[in-house]
Amino acid sequence: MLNTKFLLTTFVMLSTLTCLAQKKVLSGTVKDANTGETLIGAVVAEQDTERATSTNNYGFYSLVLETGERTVTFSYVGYQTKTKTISLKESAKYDVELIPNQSALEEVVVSGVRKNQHVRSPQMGSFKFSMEEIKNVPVLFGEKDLLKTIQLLPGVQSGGEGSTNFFVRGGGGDQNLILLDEAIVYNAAHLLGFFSTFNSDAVKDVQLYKGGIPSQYGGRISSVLDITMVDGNQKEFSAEGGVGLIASRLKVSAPLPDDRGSFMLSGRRTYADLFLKLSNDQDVKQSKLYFYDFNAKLNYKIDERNKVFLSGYFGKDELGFSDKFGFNWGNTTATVRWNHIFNDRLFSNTSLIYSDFNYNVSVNGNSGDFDIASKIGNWNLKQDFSFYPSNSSTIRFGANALNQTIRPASLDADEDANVNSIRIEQRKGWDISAYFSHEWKATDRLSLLYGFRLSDFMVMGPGTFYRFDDDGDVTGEQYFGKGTVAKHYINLEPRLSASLLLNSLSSIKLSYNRLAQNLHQLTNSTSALPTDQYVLSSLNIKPQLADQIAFGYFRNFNGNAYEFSVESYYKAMANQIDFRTGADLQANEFLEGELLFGKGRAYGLELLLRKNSGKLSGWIGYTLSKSERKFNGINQGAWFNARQDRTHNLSLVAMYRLSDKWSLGANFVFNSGNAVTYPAGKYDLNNTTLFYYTQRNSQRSPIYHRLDLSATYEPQKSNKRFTSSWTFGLYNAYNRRNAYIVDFRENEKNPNIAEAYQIALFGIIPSFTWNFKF
Amino acid sequence: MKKKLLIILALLTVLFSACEKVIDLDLENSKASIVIEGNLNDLNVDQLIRVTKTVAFGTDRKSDPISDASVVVRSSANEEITFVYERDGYYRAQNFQVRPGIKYSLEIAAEGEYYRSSVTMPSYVAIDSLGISKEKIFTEERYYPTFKFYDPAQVINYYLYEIAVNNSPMRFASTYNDKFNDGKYITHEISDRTLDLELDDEVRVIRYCVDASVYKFWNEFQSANPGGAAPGNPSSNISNGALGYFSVASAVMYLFKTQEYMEKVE
Repeated sequence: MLNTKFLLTTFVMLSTLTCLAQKKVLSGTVKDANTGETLIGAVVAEQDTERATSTNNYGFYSLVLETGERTVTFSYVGYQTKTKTISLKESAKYDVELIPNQSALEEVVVSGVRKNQHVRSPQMGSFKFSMEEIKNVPVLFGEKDLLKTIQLLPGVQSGGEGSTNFFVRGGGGDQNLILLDEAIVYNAAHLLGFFSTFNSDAVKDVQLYKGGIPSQYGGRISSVLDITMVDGNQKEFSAEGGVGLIASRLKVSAPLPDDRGSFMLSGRRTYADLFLKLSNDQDVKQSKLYFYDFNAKLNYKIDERNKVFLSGYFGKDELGFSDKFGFNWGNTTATVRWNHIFNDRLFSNTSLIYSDFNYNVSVNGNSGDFDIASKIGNWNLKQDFSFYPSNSSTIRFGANALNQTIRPASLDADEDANVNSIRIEQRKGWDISAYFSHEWKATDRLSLLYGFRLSDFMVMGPGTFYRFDDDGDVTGEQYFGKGTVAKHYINLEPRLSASLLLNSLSSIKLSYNRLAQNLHQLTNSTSALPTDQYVLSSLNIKPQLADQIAFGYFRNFNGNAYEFSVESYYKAMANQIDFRTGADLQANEFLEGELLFGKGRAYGLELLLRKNSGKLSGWIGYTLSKSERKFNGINQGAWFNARQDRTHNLSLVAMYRLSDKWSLGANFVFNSGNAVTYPAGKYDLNNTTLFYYTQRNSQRSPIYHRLDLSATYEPQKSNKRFTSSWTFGLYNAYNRRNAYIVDFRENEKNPNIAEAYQIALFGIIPSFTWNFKF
Repeated sequence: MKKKLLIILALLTVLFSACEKVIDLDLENSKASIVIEGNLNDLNVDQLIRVTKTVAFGTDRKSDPISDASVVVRSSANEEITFVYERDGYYRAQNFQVRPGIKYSLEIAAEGEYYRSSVTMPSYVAIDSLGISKEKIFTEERYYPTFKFYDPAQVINYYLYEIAVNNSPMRFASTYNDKFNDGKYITHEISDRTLDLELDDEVRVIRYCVDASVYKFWNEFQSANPGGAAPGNPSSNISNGALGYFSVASAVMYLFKTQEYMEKVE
């Protein structure tokens, strides 16, 4: 605490000192003129000079200008650029509202030096979009889904047909840090992975980092997906919603009195189970199959310098068969944030965050009644500062204390049940970290973003920790009492990104980052299941580490209307986790003995051409990639292809505004086969054909391709207030039977013959959604 | 519980209009490997051990027999039994009765290599009652041969079932341990891995009490599912990389006439 105070004072003093020059600071917030939503990443620039900045996650900007008449432009994709001439004598506060492009038909005139942020910024390996930008991307069952949209980006792969699970640059599905208003989301999937937990109505902005990950993020080694919820309409009461094939949604938001802020409430529920109710069968009638989400956010302005945000998410899946079997799971997140503006150069945010994930299984069968329950959760206290000493420097620093608890699946049985209760010890860990980063325009051509993150993960008692030999057999145990630290894992994670401007339209960029991960998900299938077990780093499990270097060429075309980039990366991963053959992961006290530790490497080349504005928008992405693993005890200790290894990935996303009433969307995906293990022979045991496997993941599943289409019809507004639209979609438009599962069996008629068969999940699937807004 | 989860998954699959077809794949062919099926038990006085080799996936034979192996079993009761080749890879020992508590060691020499294994024969855990249970899964009625018994407490027990429906050969059905219900009154419902039982079926079930290593082998086989991680060969309890298993087990065969049971119940 003392340290924070000291740092604070230093920076306040520093900022005062720099003010002594004949330079003043213009600061404020950039907002949407219709709703008052803050805009993240809006560019604020002085006309005809190089002075520029962009708004932070709270829409705040700070720009140093010389005194006198200054002309400043404010711009954001999809909004009309605003130019304002300000007579600057003293440092001033200026809040701006930008007007969304009413008719997207008018090709936006892209001008000004600051439109080439894509080329100029040292950040690489990232992709940012607002939900508005992707609203016409066709999706399965018409359910807009940001996790499925990011799978269309180069370097990001889907965990399978219709799955929300994703892999970034050859990393694992549990190596993605998914944040919703800063809270960690453990399981981002509904309905066994077909839908994401993010209700698109409640989401404002999405930022994905696949490389060059800034030092304010830590805890996962593959990627960061930073999702910001909408704040709620600051201007007037508004409601919007939709009725679709799978789910209905409703969102209401309204300003608070006296311009104090706003709130937003948003809900979504599926209704597949309503059809079950129509059944005559009592068992079917009592079965459950649905999920719901609830998002809420409130922002309250205490005064000009202090603002408080409360946001939360609650979602649950319910599956059940009659009264015999019930299964539910869900996430909860809650974030309290306090924004404090110390002065026009120093911005502070303090967050207290809670999130958890739990599942429960209840069985009333012939073995009696029993329940299985598991929970993972964390408390996180976070302090972040942004300091703007000059236009060429932004300094971010902060610290956080994250307390993680895992309660592994335990079984609670009734006295008279025919199963025994089982209780597996809880695990606790403290992750204390601090970071520093400096974004610095060193020269007109060279920009740097460098920093580090220092973390100390403490494996905490109480608990009995076992030691294992090479065969996974217990060799010893050690008990650590409550509050004692069983082990410290200290990691220093350097981060660096640099861009060198070749000319105003092109640049080359370089980045290096090291990341550490102390929470590990033990997944035994390609699509993560809610019942997958989590473990923390322990005496046996060391933090997973990744070192990634990336190199890229960035180029804008046609007056910055087109953005093009080529990036190549190499990633080395240490302390990766796999399982012994036939590992017993269920309620196993000696679980860690079932784990194998090894290393990984992944490399690839990514091409992306993106067009953000105008009648036609979208992107084309292509990835050429390789991802391998090496474990003693698997594949004779030789390198083998990771499950998600896939050589070619092509995706094309196009949105086209046909007229004021109609807009069209299409996406096309083409992937070469995943690395799979297929039989290399067969044999007979007990009159059953068994398949003989030799090398791990040495073969390829069939190629995958798919085209999706959508059309949105928005009738002309009959009255000013109420608008509605219809979206029609076709998933898998040419009805290709892509293999979801390939398996092998005896031929039914002649058991001497073995055959391969595939199961396709989705044929052509039409959908429609009616959306309204008032 | 696993079964219930499968029902839900099946329901989801139906909801999402799954579609299945046989496909042609260009598969790798590896060098043939040796396969040993050693299922000794106290059901019979004659014992059989089978020695074969793997064949390529596309072959229209299940496996290739090895006819010139030397197959010997020794016991901790100082027996030494040599198995004699019969046909189709089967080696027979006549009048060889196995007994619980005795350790049996297998030694096979085939194609210039030695393969060894040893297991101790567990005692049989008697059943309390048996019957056919009827379960309704949505609109379909399914029948399962059902065993009820007291599991001995404080010892780990492993159970294995084989099933034959009407005239079909005896095949592996399922295997269980008592990890979650040690010492409890246990119910096992048995089903064929591919066939649904009909009302007029005649079903034979062999119930074995097996060694841990035999359970491990068959449990890995039954746990493999196409959505899972990379499949591998079940861990064998035989040395030198042989596929298959060596089991000496206590066993009892039960005959079920589904209709008779159901009539008794109703």
